[in-house]
Amino acid sequence: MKVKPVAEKVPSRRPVIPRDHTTHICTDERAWVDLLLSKVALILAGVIILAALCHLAVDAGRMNQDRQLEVIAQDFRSAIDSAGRDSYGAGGKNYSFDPYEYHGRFGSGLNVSVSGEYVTASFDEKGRRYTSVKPLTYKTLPFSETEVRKELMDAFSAAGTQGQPIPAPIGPENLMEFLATLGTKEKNLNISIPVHIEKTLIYTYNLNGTGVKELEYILVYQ
Amino acid sequence: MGLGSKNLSTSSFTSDEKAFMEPHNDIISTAMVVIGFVIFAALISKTYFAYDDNSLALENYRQAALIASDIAAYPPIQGSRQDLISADALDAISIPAADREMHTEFFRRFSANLDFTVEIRTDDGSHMWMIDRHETPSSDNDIIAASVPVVIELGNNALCVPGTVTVRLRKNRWI
Repeated sequence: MKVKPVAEKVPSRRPVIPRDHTTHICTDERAWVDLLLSKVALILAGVIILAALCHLAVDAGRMNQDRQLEVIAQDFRSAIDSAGRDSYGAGGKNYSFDPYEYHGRFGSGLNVSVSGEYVTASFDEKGRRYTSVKPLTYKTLPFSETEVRKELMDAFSAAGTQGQPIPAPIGPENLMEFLATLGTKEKNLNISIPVHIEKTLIYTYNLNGTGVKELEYILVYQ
Repeated sequence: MGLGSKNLSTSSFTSDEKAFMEPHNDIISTAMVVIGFVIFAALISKTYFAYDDNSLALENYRQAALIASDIAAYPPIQGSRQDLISADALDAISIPAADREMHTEFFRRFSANLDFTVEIRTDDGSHMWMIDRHETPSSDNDIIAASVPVVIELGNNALCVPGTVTVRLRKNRWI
């Protein structure tokens, strides 16, 4: 009798996927997703901490440079203000940026400017500009005595000296406005050369021409 | 000994091999590092801002002290001697200014950007003069004050009393 071979039932290699996926996720205890998520979170946290540390280090360097610029501007401002406190005729003084140029970290990249209202110290590095601005206490002009007298002579036909005061129709207020306009433009200073600071007096008649007024100005020039 | 106390003993932690916390150790340690870093950064920033505020205050104090000493030596308000301040002159320029021209002259040499009030008072508190560019000074934006001791000459009888000149700098767009 010939026996008819019976086909052997081969188990399927594909995993059996239950119809209910929710039940499958809930009963799967292999925790691969959990592991992956926690590792990704750890890597992200590590990257963020490292980036924050690098940022902190860079910011500390920038803050240090800002601080040095503040010191330079403050020192220069103090020199101008102390000249303003001196009485007229005490003689001018020279201010030098040498200590900052040769011993500081800025080298020749340091820029210093002065205007009628403030001093500015700035430094350019990798396209970024660091600036410190300090307001001046006294009225200041970034010109020499000769330049101021020439400007006054051109504008009012009088040099504003004791022997040649600014004539009466102009008056102190208009003269101060003219000088304030004159001092608005910043003058860049060469930090390799000393800056001369001195006080000067500009004489002007009152509006009604009855008396002569003295206007005190600090001159900052090279 | 109860079951609860047995489970909480040290040997139960060291011999427990169920590793219930093991998969989360890295997360806990990372969380501690993050918290530590945040606290460190907060402390650093707070220290820097405190230092910045103090240096700005010191800088403004120097400027206020310079102005105060300048005013104490201002010739038009001097009394019968150079080291005295005349109460009559202060009466003329304090608010409301009786002598407008002298009041204007008082502030003329200072930069227009500088906003400050001068308060001169006797130490016994009997006299006080307030000098300001504006007729109605506001103390809302005061940032720093500096004082210098002076001697004030009261009236014509040469009665001299000790006092102080106080300069209060106000915050403006530059400061």
